[in-house]
Amino acid sequence: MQKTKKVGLGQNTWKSKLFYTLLVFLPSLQFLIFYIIVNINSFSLAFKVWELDADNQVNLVFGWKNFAYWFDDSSGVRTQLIDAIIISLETYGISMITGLPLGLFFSYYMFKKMPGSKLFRVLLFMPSILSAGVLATIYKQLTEFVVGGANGWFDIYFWDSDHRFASMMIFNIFVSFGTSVLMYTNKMDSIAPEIIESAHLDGANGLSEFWYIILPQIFSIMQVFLMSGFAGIFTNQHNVLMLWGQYSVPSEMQSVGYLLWRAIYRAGGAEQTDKLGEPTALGLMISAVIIPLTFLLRWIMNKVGWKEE
Amino acid sequence: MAKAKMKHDKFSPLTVFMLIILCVYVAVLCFMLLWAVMQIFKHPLDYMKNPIWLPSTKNGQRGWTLANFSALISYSHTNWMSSSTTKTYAGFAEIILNTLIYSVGGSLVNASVMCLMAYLAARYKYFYSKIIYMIVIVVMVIPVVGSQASEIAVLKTLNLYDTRFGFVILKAGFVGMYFLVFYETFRNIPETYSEAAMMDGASDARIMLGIYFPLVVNVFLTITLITFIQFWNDYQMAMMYMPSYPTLAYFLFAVQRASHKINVIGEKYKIGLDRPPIKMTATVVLMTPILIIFIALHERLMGNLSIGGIKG
Repeated sequence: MQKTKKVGLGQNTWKSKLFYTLLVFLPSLQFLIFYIIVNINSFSLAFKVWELDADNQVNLVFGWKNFAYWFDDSSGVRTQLIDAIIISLETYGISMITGLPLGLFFSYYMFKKMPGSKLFRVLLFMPSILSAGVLATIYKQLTEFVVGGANGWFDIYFWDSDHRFASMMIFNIFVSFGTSVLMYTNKMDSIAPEIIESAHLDGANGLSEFWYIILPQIFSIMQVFLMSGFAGIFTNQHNVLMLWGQYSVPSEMQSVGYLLWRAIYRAGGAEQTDKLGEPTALGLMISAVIIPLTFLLRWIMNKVGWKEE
Repeated sequence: MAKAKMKHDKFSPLTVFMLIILCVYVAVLCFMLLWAVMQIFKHPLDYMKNPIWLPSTKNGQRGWTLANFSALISYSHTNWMSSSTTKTYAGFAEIILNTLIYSVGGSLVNASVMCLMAYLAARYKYFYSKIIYMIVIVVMVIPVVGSQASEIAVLKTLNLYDTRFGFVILKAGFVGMYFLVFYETFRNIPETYSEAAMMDGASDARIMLGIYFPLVVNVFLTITLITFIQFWNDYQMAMMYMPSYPTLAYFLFAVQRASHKINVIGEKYKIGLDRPPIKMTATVVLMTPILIIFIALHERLMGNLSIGGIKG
């Protein structure tokens, strides 16, 4: 019996191999430099410290000083970090408690093809394609000078110390629905109509249909959003840069993501490469905490969450 | 009977409650955008007399004017940039050029590299193809935090920090969700196409450029469009990696913080940049191209998006 030679791309001809090698070379080099070397360098930067000796000479030493910097309270850094961790967790919790159910209900409304569904779908998506800076600027100006403030419609100062956290959270939730609603509705649309019809025949009402049929079917998408939100707890800045600027963010609004960003911005922009170690050390500590927790969350959700059947 | 049942389903307390919330949401969003647009032709000094509506000549107001645009252009020629950069200012034309290089160039390079690597990984059954796929999955699953500091250090070592070229190289990575979209798209194309072409003597390059790439043009355009919008809106990348080449989004960020006084066409005295009409003009300039793209192509942007990224 004669063996037929398989014809396909890259079937061991030297020309194919050369073609393949030439094309993968540059992107692979880019990955090597900007992922592998960058992350190895992250480790090394985190342990590098430049110290002045008695003769005013700068010496490079290796140690834990960049890590210790974040736990030293003589300059208030530790307190700042603890506050930032609390703020990051608080904002994540609030977003989950309010944003997630609202997003799910909005999607359900659109899935049921209720009045105005198409328009709502487009308008809910719009904030996610506009710059957060654009909407944050408009929101702040409106609430500060038109809706609230000394000459505003209501006698509320949205950005004073009593209200600014709530004002920031309302804005962040307001702009958060776009992609999630789109994904949920796309997934809901793939549910077989027979399943819904048979539930109706069994006497299911809107809420039980939502709870027993819709939620299990879209749980895989919810998992993605829960996981990505969780992984971003300590990198999310909650648009504080656009709301207050890089150096004027009130202390009770400073999340870990903002602290990290500010430290990198100060060190990177000011040509202080020796200062890059501190944010890198913080980044490593965050990674060390968040990576195992993200996997743990995934495991828990797989164990106790709905099964798509 | 069935119709009556449907009607009952449609207007449950839950959906009525959702309808009310959605109507409020839409009203607020539309009001925000309309209010911003209504400010741009209003004189900065008229704002206190008329904080909401379109420009007018009532009560001594100056009516429609281009003063806000003039203020922005004047501001772009002052020393508005960070003192740590090699330049102190960038004029409006340069800002637009930087924005186009950043958003158009960056999105094209990014989408092209992802498309190319996904094609090679999906169609060539080499061991290295498996490694490429594995790298993408591993990098996406493990959330490494704080590597920007190291990225800046590496860019500085390579003399690529604060250069346009350096930024383009930084964006030429193949790791990301859209790699997987391209990968699945290429895998779903039957192998018989390439087999037939190879029997006819077509080279690898011809098969890639003449057969496979034209089949994924739609996916490529959608991904390029999405990344274009991301880059257009992004102010932090320019601030962090190329502060001497500010983009429009970065300029808007600077305008929001600015409060000093500036010359405006037709005005004897300088006017403060903290006036809302000037800030709103900057926001409208930044969002108008994206709004136009969204209105024209929202079906492509929204219809194609699914959990894998884009429906091939």
